[in-house]
Amino acid sequence: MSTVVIGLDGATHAVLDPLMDVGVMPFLRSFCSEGVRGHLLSTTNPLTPPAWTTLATGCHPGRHGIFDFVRPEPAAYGIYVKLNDARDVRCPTLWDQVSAAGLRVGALNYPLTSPAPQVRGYVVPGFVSARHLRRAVHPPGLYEELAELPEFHPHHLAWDFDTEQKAVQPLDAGEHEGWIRHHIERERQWFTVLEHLMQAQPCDLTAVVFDGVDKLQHLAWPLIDLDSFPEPATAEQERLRGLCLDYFRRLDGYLERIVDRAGPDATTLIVSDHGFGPSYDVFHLNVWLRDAGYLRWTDDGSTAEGADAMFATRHRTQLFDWAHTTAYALTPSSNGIYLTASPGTAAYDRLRDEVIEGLAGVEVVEAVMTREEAYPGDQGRLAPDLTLRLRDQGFVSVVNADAPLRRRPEPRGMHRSEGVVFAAGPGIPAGRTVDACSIADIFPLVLHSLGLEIPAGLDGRLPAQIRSDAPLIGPAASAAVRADGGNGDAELTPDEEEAVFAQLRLLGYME
Amino acid sequence: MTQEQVHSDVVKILDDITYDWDLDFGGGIGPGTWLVADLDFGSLDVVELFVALEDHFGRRFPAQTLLMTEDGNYIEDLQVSELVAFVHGILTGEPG
Repeated sequence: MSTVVIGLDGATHAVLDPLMDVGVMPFLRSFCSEGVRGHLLSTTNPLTPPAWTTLATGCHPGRHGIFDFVRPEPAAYGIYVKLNDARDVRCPTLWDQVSAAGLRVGALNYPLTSPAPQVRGYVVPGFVSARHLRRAVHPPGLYEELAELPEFHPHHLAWDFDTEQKAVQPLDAGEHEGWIRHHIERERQWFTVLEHLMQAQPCDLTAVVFDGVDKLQHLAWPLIDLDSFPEPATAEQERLRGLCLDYFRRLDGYLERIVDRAGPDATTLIVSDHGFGPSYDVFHLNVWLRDAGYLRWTDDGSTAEGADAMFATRHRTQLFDWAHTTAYALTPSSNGIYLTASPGTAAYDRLRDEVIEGLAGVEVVEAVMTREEAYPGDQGRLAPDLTLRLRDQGFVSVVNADAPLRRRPEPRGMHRSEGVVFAAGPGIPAGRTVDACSIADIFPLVLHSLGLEIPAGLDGRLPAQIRSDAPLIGPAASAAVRADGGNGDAELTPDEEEAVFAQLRLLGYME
Repeated sequence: MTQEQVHSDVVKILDDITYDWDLDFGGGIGPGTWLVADLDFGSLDVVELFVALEDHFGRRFPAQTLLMTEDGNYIEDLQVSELVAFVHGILTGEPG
């Protein structure tokens, strides 16, 4: 009895179905006939770090505490932006649970797995640069083993943060080919590592994320989505589309070989953290906040779209005039607004209501949620004070611009709530399309497939449309709160934190 | 823990982080070594350094108090001696 979870970051039925129809992904098509397929509903803000963490914990972001790639922390002047890591996840993960049950776990390229958990098995974390990969993998010595693999190249395998920034920037003409080929090679590297480890160190739970699907769809959406593909297309557009199809053809081959190696008795889940679709709107949220009197730039800000790159965030915070800023957006990816007033005060309530009321009149804003609405749970206090949902589900822009709204001449691929789940294995019906389930349901589904108890108190539940046999329910205490509580709060003691806030209030930056 | 012990541990961590970085820098890491100018650190390398320090010393460090200036800007470089003094100050409650 073993389980394989194959993550395809950003995969959507709207892209995969046509690729199966035209014969680019024949294995996935046959896999559908042997199991079930359906929509997998993502987190409130369908974004990689919170969504994969929900899959790995069975809890929504309001409980696991991950809302974005980064989080702001108070500093003596303004804010300090920190990169989230595994220590900030406040709930037990699949890796913890399965390993604690005495089974072996292998996890490759999952976000928020660095520093690597000390599991029985192995972890090669995602979101780690090549420079630090050797030290990031678990167990010690694994990197040296992988380095012996033919054509192993850590710079292709690991995150190149300079390259990944392109996912939120427009590509110059001629850059598409390099971008697509980079991800073709990167997936090949991850597959090579996975295939080696499945043979050399077989695990009860094997999990991998291929994230090129997301990256290609962000920047090459018109080449991948048939509805967006230019008609008539130029020879160059046809050539680049062919390269994109080559990416998916190779990915289909990897899926086949992984499922084949797992064997007929294994449960296999192919899942995405969110879906994808076209986005035309650009909403410059900080420009809107400036025009409404909530934000002031220190100078002219930055009008370059490239400045929306998530790793430019630190520098952007220096562009806010904190003495005259009461509401700001930190990253495009969170779709969030932070308020500088202290929660629980009349000033906070008044400011929040004002901003919500103002945004209600913006045509591209479909919904504005308070953090209690968007992220219920004991960690919701770490979320943005307000979370927006745009009408085309795109990300906001946080850089300066001439006007709050503009429209792109051609669509960019952006995240959607509806991801995918394909599942096959013991106890799973064949050839069925099932009702949508939540990404939080994958955690109990995986534990159940391994014959393990499902802790009570999760946000997810065993999806009866995929496995209808009765689950083993364990005590809530084993999963409701991570045993060590995470150590995200360990940096500042309550006294230290209060001292920082007191200093900010003294300076007039907080109320 | 003395400042000398902290220095020794910090240098071991920096040696381990950078040992396969193909740097031009030679002569060994010491108190006067600059993270950016000598060891080619970028901002994400600093993040990983703090993860390593926090793992080694078993607690989180308020990096912002070391890396940000009083006017909200980020410092451009950091010497090993400053890092050691900061870590030692946090561990002992005696700001360096």
